Amino acid sequence: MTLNDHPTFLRHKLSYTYKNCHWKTMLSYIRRFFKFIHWLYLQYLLNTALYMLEPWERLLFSTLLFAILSTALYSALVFLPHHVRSMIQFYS
Amino acid sequence: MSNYQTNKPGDDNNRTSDHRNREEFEETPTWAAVVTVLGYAILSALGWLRDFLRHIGLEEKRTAHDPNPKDFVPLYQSYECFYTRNLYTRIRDVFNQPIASVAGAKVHVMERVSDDYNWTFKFSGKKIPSINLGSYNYLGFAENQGPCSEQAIKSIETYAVTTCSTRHELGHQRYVKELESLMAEYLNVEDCIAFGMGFATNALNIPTLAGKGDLILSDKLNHVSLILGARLSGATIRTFNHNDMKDLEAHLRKAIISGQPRTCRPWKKILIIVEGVYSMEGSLCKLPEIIELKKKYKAYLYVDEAHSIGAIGSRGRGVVDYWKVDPNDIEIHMGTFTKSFGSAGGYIAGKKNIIDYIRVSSHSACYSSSMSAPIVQQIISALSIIMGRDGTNDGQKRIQQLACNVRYFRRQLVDMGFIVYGNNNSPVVPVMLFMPAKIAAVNREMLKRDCAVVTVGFPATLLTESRVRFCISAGHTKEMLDHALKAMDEVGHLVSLRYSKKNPHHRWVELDHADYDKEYTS
Repeated sequence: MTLNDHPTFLRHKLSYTYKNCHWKTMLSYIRRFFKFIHWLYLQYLLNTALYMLEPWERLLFSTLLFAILSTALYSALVFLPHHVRSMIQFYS
Repeated sequence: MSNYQTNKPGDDNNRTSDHRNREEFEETPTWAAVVTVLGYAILSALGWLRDFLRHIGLEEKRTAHDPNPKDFVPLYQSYECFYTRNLYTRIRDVFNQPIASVAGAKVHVMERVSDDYNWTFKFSGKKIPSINLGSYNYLGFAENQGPCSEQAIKSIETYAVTTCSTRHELGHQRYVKELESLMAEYLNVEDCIAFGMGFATNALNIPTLAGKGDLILSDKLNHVSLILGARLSGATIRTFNHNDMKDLEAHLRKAIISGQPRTCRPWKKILIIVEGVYSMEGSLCKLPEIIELKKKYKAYLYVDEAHSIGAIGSRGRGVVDYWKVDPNDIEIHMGTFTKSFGSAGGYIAGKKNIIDYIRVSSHSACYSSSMSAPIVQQIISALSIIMGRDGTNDGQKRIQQLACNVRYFRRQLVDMGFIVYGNNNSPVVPVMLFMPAKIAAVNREMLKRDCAVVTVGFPATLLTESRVRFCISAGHTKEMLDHALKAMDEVGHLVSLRYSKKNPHHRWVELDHADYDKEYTS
């Protein structure tokens, strides 16, 4: 991987001349976006130490994490408005 | 969260706090420590799951198992085996990589592939030529061509390969005598004795020097050979915090005031053991302050210059030369020939009466084989080059090249935003990684970019402080260092290694290279 292939979402933007075709720049932006997603996935694997594990272990842990997070999100979406309303009523 | 004593200017009026001798141990960022511990927790949980599957038989057992029935005392210690099975084996391909050429500035690493997740390996036959950033080849003498190797080959013709005898019997040869007198002159001391193995020099000679009724004060981060030697001697061992002079003084005062543990008799002698350069942190010992303390409290000093001899100091004479102290102030100078001289073995140097005593009563002199001729000749040739005896100034050039390389490499890494431990002048450059998965990731990615590095984790370091350790050599040219820095920049972005809070993060292209070139050529 050369330096130019990395997503440059932080600093210098490459300047494209107006002569370049629009769909080519679109394609390069899409490629950069996919590279960014790949980089994010690599950070997830490295920080949770899943990088060292076998594929089925990764699947197991990711499924477990997804199940816990989705349950938490669902409960929040369903119950939070009612809780907040009753708290406001209690304190006013 | 930091275990180390950072050197701040203004701490004391001593030259150890001069800005050139600054040692930086930047603190671990809290989020990094938390994520590391979480990572180890996930690995342990999955390790338990795998062990359970192996126990019930769903998965086959691939390690050696204990053949004794249940009532017997277990043969293997349980956490170490758990760690080896479930954490070490998963990234085993980055450790102990076989090489296929001389380990000089460049090395050929043999490529291995594994089908079953690192339990077995097969060689693919490909050799990867890469820049060697892992060998302790500080002055670049690890080469198979040149004056040193020619003279070593000639010495085989004169003296044969070995004497098949110990030092006391027929092993006291002319070349060993020449080596010892040359080494004593190099270090500016009275006498010196050489041994065949560096580890054994420490482990087998500290028992000769200290015994029951003595006190050994050793630094917390001392090498295993020193710890083993101290334990074998039977003396009482107390450790003081790494490079912490106040702690050392407190220990000395307590020892002198209270005496031996039960009888309260005064200690027969107090021996302070420190290292010149600590190989895992890259820090230097604070020699002037230790010598001041030693003189005040009348203790003895043992300095292990394994990594610093030849590599540190304006003339390459080690930490004694770097701090410009009087060599007669240190009782025992110890060092190895493995690192800067490209050979094997160790030496102990000091006053003549101490060395004569060691000659007579050391275990190593009496029971182990004497050094063989080509090895000694390699050291003698390397020493003559370093001291300038061969008529060229090649030695001084190597020392200066190493110093330039070290300054250049370290400064760029720090400016890019990595956490780099240690003194600015030490050729050992540890860059912190913290997380276990990054140990494997950094090693593999650097090898893809043709740099062979050494990444270390637990148990060589603390659990949360894994690092990649670069060893700079005088044989590295500026192009090699630039290539390595570019590779580190890319890998640092890919694996997100830029943890530093003190220095802003930069990419390689953003650094002002004209600035560094000036520093490099000065």
